Amino acid sequence: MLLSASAALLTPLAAVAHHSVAINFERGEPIEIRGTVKEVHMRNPHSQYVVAVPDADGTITEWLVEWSDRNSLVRRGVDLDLIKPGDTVTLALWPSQRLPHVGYFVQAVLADGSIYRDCGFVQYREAVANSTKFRCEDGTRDTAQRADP
Amino acid sequence: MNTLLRLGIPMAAACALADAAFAAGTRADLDGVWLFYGAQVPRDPGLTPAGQEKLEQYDPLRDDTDTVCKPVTFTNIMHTPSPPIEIRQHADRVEINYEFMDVHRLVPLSGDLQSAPYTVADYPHMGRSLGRYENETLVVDTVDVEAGYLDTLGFPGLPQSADMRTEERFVADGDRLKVIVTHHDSVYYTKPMVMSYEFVRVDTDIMEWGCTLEGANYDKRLDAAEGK
Repeated sequence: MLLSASAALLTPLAAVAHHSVAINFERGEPIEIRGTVKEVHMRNPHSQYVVAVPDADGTITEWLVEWSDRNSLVRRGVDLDLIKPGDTVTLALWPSQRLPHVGYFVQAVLADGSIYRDCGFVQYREAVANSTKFRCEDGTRDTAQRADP
Repeated sequence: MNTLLRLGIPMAAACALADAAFAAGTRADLDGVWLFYGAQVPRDPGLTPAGQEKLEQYDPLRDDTDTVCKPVTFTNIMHTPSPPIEIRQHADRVEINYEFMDVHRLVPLSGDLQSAPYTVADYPHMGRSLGRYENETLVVDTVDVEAGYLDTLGFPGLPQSADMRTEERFVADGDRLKVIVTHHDSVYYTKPMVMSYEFVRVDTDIMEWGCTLEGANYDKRLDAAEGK
């Protein structure tokens, strides 16, 4: 068997992406933003949303929210129309370590109040490696699980 | 004529044997699509002072050529987790198609490495490659790469010189594949620098990547942050 879970130096998969997520984003407790989606770009190498976020004094700041590449979202069965321009959403993000108002997608409270969490690549990879059907329970848009109003 | 015949018959016989061996599957079966499963990178790559200096100069927002839709290196592509790679073995060549950045690589199995065609026609900076089989293992040597950065993911900022020679060993075990990559570059490393990548065979097709500059870079944000 070539693959071994005991390989001590295996790079954590969550630590790598097309730009290094580990380098560019603080992967601790996510921050939260709430605003109106201005742009949706489901593309490679990164999908991106632009979200207009009002500050307490009403000043609008545009946030750039990155997500996985389009191809992997398609393979994971993510609905690419999950978030549309004009939607008001609350997003949990890992903030950029280097740039202001840039973050990496972790979870969304969608316009209808349902919650969407990204399963990520690891769960998909494990399903492939173990010849099991990929099921993204958390990633499935769950209207029964709503955020607090 | 006799000399040609003497040389030609054994060569033809050898070729026939090689084809028969290939057809019989004595080379490892690498054909298929492979998904990244994990990687091993050295904690201490053994950098020379010049290598250390180059590492310290690395700026991920400026020096990662992925951000301008220019694939960094094969090493870096293999470390990119989600887009799979496809391998197709032929008697005279191996095709390796990396979904990431639509990199289509041709590795001839005969000829001279220094005069081999660029292994990716669209990306000469990725060098020239020549492959061979050592028993069941596919071994690919690569030279003539562009100086710059070797890795922007696993060990971001590891440099490479134009003198670097790389050996990739493709070791398959059923539906598992390990690619062991050894970089020889005395400009930046005091010893051969070894990385390895693990894959699982997956029932999918390679998709078009169609890299978009807007999706790849942060220029607008970077400029804003710097007050441009």
